[in-house]
Amino acid sequence: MKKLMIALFCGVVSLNAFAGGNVANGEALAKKYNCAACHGADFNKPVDPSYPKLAGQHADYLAHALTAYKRGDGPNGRNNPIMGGQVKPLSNKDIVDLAAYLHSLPTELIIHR
Amino acid sequence: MKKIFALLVLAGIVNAAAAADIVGNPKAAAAKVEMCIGCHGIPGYKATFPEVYQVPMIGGQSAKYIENALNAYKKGERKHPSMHGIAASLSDQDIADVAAYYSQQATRTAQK
Repeated sequence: MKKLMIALFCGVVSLNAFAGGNVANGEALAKKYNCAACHGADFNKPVDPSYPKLAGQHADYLAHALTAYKRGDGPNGRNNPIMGGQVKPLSNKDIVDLAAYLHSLPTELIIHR
Repeated sequence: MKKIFALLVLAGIVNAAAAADIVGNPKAAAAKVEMCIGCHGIPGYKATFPEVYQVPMIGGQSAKYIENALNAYKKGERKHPSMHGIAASLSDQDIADVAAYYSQQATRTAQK
């Protein structure tokens, strides 16, 4: 029972970590780090088709992806020269805020078979 | 001059032929997306390692990005055990077909 309570508590805390992303600060960070220079002005029209659309993507996935770029060539990382450089200055809080902002934008992405 | 022109034309044809080698066919993807829909087709489906997160929405991404991502998982530039296993099992043609399939979902949404 105690373990269940702890598990529930941890679940609530981790959910809040994402729900608590600060959209306004995320927007400021996106401007500061020029995310739109590649991912497109509305984050739906990347400047190159090999870059992903970010608008409306799940916030927790975006945070995971940014964290993975931070891990770089290490376990569970993503080794990408451009994104590896971009994420370097970001704190964990920055990542959550950026993810919350990008998730808040109107999306062209869908979940469909 | 004429010869150079003819060469250029020939080179153009060869290029076009090379580019035409692998063209994604969304209709051929029907059987190939079986592996994708078990996670990416379920709203709210979550991956749990090392972070807990909803698997990304891929419907509507450009074909080129999906190909890029799958190739990065295949080559290990993106280190993700499940996606590596899946991407490694796909041929270049499979990847092109799957990418075409999911990117077409964008066209349908955009047409709305």
